[in-house]
Amino acid sequence: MISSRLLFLLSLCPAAAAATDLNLSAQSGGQNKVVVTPGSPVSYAVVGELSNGASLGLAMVSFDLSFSGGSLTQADTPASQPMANFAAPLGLNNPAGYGGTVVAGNLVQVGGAQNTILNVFAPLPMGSVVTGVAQPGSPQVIATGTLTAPTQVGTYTLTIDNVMGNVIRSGETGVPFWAVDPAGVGSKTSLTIEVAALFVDKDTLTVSALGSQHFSLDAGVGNAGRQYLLMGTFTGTVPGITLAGGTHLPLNPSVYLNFTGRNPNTPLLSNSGGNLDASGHATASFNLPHVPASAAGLVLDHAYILMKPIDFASNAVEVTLVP
Amino acid sequence: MFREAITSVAASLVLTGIASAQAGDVAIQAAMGSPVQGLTASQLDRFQKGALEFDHILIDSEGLGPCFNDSGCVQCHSTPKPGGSSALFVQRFGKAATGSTPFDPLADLGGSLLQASAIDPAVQEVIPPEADVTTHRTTPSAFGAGLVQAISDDVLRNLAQNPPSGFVHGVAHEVTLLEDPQGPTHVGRFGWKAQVATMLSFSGDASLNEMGLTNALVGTENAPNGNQALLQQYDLVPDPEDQPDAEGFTRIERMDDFQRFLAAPPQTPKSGMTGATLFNQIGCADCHVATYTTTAQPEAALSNKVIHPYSDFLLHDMGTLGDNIVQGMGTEKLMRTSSLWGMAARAQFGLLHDGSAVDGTAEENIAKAIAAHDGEGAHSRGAFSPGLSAEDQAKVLAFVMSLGRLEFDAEKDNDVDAIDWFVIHLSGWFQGPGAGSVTPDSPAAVADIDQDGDVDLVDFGLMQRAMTP
Repeated sequence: MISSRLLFLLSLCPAAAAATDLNLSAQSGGQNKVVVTPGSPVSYAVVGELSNGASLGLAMVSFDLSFSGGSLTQADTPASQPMANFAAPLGLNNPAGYGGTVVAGNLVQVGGAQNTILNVFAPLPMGSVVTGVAQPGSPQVIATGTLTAPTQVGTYTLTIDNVMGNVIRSGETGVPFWAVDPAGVGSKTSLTIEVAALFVDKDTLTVSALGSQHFSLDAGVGNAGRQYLLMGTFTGTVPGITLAGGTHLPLNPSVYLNFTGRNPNTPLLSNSGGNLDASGHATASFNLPHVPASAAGLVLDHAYILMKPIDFASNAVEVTLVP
Repeated sequence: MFREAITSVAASLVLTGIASAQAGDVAIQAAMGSPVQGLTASQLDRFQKGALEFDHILIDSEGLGPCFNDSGCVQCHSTPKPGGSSALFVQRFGKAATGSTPFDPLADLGGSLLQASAIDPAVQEVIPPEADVTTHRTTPSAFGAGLVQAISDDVLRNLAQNPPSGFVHGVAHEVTLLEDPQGPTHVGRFGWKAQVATMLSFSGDASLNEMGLTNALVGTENAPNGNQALLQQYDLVPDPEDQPDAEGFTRIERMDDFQRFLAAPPQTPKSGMTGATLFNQIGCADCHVATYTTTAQPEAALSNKVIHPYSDFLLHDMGTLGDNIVQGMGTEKLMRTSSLWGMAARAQFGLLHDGSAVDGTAEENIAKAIAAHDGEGAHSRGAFSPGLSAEDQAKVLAFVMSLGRLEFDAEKDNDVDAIDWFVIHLSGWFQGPGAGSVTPDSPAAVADIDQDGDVDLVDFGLMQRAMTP
C-alpha cells in the first residue's frame, strides 16, 4: 500500500518533459502583411500554436497588442469553443474583458485562462478544462479584433508583446488539479499593415507599343470630394520633397514633375487633376506616347497629393519602360 | 508636436509598467517541505529517499533507544510539513556555575540533554536532583538548511568582527565537524547555541541524542542517566546501529540529503513592506541579517543562491533571555540569533528557545518574543516598544508574518488551492492591469506576485503554476 506521504513525494518529481514554446502570429486574412486604404477597417486575428506536442495544450495565454498606427479598441470575446473556455464565465479573464484592458491605446493582457484550478467556489472561472488547444498542426485563433488603418499612407505594425502562457502537463487527468507548466515564449510575428492610396494595374509598359498604366486613387472616405493632383518623376522617390505644411511627396524633382505639377489632365497623364468621389476614389492614366527605343529602362514614379490644404500625399507607384 | 512626443513616451512607459514584461519569468517560490528548485534527477531521488527516512519511525531492533526523545525525525520536525518545527520541545539540564566552578552539564548523569522516553521504563531518564538549571528547547525548522550550510564561514566571521552597531557584539561559534573531527573549525549555525555547522553533523548528533541511534559519527550510546549497567542490559543492537542501506547510504546520510535539499521558506511579498523598513530602522536587522549569497557547492541548486534567512547565526548575550546552559562557546547568556524565515508557519506554536512566547495569536507571540529580548537585543526591543506607534508595530509584525507565507496562500495554510482563489476573488483583489492600488502592505499583495501593483490575469497564470506540484 502506497502511503499518502509517498504519493506526495512522488508528486514532487514531475515527469520530464520537453519545453514547449508558444508561437503567436498576428494575421489579417491569413497573412502577416496586408495592404489597405487610408482609414479602412482591418480585421485581424492572433493565432497561437505550440512548438511541440509535449503538453496537453494551452491552459492560459496573455499578451499585449500595440499598433503603431494609432489606438486599439478592445479585441473580441471568443464565442465558441475552445477559446470560450478561456473567457469568463467558463474561464478567467481580466475584469475589463478577454479582449484586453485598454491602456494608452494599447491592449494589455488579451486572453484568459482555463479553470485548471477546478474552482467551484468563486463565481469565476467555472468551466471544465479542455485539452489539445493550439497543439502543433492545429493553430488556434486566440483573439480577433478590428482596427482602423491610419489616414496617412505608410507602413504600420500590430505588435505582440509580453507573452505569457501555461500549458497543461502531459499525462494530467485533473486530479486534484490540472498541473501546468510555463510555456516558453516562442516566435512573435507582427502584422504589417501597409496603408496605400494609389494602386496601378501594371508596372511595365512596352516602348514599342502604345499603352497605359491605369491608376486607382483611393484616399479613403474621409477624404471624399477633395481636390487631388497626380504628378510624376523619372528621378526616383527618395528623398522626395517636402511640401508646404510638411507633407512629404515621395517624388524627386525633375522636369517631368514640374510639368505634371503645372499641367494637370494632359493626354500624357489623363485625369491627373480633379476631385475624389464620395468614396474618396478617382481614376487616372499614364498614357505612353511614341518614344524612341532608347527610352527602355526608364523608370517613372507617380504619386498624388490632396489640396486645400495640402495635408496628404499618396504612396508612389512605379512603371518601368521595357523594350 | 512636442506634446505629442511626450504623450507617446508617457504612453509607452505606462504600457511597460503595467504590462509586466517579465511576468512569465516570475519564479514561484517553493512551499515549505518542497525541495530546492533546480535539483538534478539523482539529487531529487536522494531528496525523496531522504524524506522517507526522515519520516521513518525507528523501532527497538533498528537501534531506537534505550533512552530517546522520539522515534523519528518527523515526530518533532513536522509543521507545516516534514522538516519543519512543532510545539514539541526537549529539556536540557545542568548545574549552574558557582564562583570559580564552571557550569556542569552533568554528563555523567545523562546531561545536558534529557532523553524523556525509553524502550523500557527501567531506563527512563529523569532530571537528576543535582541539576539546578533546566530549560526547554523547542524544535527548530530545517527548511533551507542546505542553503544556510552553504553560507561562507568567513562571511559570518566578518559579521562578528564588524558588528553593524554598537549595541551588538556577535560571536562566531567555532565548532568541529563530527564528520571531520581533525579538520579546521567552522562557524556553527544550527542549534540554539549555534553548536552545529553542518546538517550531517546535526543528523549524526540528533540521531544519537534524540533517538538513541548510534552512527558513524557518534558511536557511543547514551547511558540512561549515566548508568552504564543499565545501558549494557538494554542496548542490544550492535554499534553503530545505523548501517548502510542497499544503496550504501546510512540513515544519517539520508536525513542529511533530505534536510540539505529542503527549499527555503517563501516570503510574500518578496519586498517593499513598510514593516521591513521599520525592522531595519529599529535595529532588528543588526542581528536578524536578511540576505546572503551562498558559496559554490557540489550541487548547483545550492550554489550562489540569494537567500533571506534573517539571522547572523552568531551568539549574542541575550541577558535574561539566555537559557543558562553551556554548550561549547555558547555560554549561559549566549544564544544564537534565531532565523526568522518561515515565521508565519510557526509563530502560533510559540517562539523563543523555550517556547515561552506563546498562547496568543501569531502576531501576539511575535510581540511577546520581541518583548523578551534582553542584553544585546534590549535596544531594539525598546525601539519597537515603546519606540514605535501601535500602527508601526503592527507593520513590523505584518512583515515578520510575511516570512514563510506562500504566494497566493490567502487563507494562510501553507498551500495554494481553489479556496485561496475564492478568498482572492471574494476580497475583490482581482481587478486587472492598471488598477495600481496594491502595495506590498496591502492584503492583496499575497496575490500580486509580479508586484506590479495589481492582481490580474498574469498573476492568475502564476497561481495556476503555484498550484502545480
